Amino acid sequence: MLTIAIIIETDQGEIKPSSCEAITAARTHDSCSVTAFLVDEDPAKHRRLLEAYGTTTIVSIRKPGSRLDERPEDAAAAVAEAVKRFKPDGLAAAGTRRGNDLLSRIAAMLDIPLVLDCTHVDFAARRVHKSRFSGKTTAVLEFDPGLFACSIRPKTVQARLSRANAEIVAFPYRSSDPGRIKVKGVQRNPDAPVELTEASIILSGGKAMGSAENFMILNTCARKIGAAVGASRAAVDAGFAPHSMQVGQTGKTVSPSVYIACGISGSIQHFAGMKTSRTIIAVNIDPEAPIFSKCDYGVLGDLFEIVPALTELLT
Amino acid sequence: MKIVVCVKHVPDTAARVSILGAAECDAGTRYVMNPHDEYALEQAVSIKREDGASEVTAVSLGNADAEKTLRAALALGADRAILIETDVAFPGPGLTAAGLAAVMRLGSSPDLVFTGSRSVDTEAMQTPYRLAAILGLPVVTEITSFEMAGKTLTVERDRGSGAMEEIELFLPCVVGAARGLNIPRSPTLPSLMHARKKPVEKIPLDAIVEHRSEGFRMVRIEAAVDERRAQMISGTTQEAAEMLARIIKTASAEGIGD
Repeated sequence: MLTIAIIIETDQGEIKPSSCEAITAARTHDSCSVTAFLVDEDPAKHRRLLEAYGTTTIVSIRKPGSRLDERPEDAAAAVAEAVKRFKPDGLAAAGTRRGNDLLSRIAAMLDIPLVLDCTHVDFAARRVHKSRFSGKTTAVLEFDPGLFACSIRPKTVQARLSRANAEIVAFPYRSSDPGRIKVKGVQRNPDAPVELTEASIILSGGKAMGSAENFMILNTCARKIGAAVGASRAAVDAGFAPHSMQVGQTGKTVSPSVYIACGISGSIQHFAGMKTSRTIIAVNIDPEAPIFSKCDYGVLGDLFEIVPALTELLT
Repeated sequence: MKIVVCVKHVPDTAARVSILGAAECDAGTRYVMNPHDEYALEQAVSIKREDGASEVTAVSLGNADAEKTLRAALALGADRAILIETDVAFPGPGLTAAGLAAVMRLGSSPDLVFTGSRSVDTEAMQTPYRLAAILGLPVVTEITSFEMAGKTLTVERDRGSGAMEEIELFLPCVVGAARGLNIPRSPTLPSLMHARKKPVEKIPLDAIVEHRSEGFRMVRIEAAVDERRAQMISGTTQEAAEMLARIIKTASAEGIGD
């Protein structure tokens, strides 16, 4: 029986869906049992949900009197201590910004091999699929014997219920040194509550949007369906959208169920960031746009007419 | 201030990539400076512009061809360039970090090390962390804003879910740049000509580092297969919108069971 420790990520007190996806990835094999490493949170609050996806042990990692989330080096040290104490066979987390950062710190600290942003993980066989060259190739890698770590790209695994009973083990962490890095504050953008890399539906705008104000057309539609809004590099370069919304090679890699590209020509670099979307829909007024050869559905038309019409229907 | 910028020589992102054999992946076309590293270099050079006493050294681990990227770095304002030469096809983060750290230890310790947050070829995303661990320095990556007041750095990074983190750390440290940190400039022709006369120091990787396993082996490489056949939706705006609404509802219902 292999024990896989999944570092659970929470945002504003709620467990992220991508963490449940990671649990499912580990539970795929009957030979793997899942231990959840829960940092800062009250384990009793999250027990039901973690059990629902198949967790059998919850290690509650807390530093009395402080939030480890504010101290990246201390958080990594705390989880590293838990790894040494509980000796899992594998360590994993959702491949979100925070997950990748934390795993990178831990792997460097413990000097263990780590592959981030895996699109497939077979914990029993110790094999992962890792996309390289911006998605042009996939490398199948096999870890050497010993502890290994990996992060799983959000939305590549469908979270599946698998009821279990979990025991809660408290792991109080004490250190006199909170580390050299401090998170002074977190600023939230109320207009962008859905994280692009974890969204099921994405509405994306290209340079044809014409202005930052025009992105409101996409925002309005997106709000109706709980979608996230993305942008092409050209739109970001033109100042119509911030960098955090950029999908593509030098932006974010997304893998939603539905990706709707509005006024996006479909360069290789943009495609690299969204090619693993299950369904790609393109709306473009240019019949020669490259995106029409890379999508599942194409609408040759004016996005400024189509998107509002779509919004009306989705009410 | 002593600043080191780590730059990587990578295939142009528009290049076609072909697979040779089971364990090789070679793009026969144009190689460039890793896009994220351009932001790192620009930040380093802009610090030097403010404080003329600073020295910027560009370091790259790669094959002989990587000299081109180092020349570009010199043209963009680096004072020195060092190539850690190796024929290892796609060095992993462990080996890369070991090489970079070994070179940094040859001279006096840097005050600030800039890297790109990720490379567009192997995309390991760990080199800055492994490098920082060997050097015993704090590290923050994916930063989109950078402020320095004395030894105090205040940086910002995207935390996900529409949230930005404001982070404080102190020199000496390692910082990974992300897109949006600044606007990298292109080298001018005169600066490129001038850079040609500057030396690029070369050190063989094997002379400074003992090879060690990354901890995993490559089983095989698969080329991505992009096969989508566009179904064009025709009709009036209303008809197209109705079709889209239907597709979205069906497709997202088939999707995740969150």
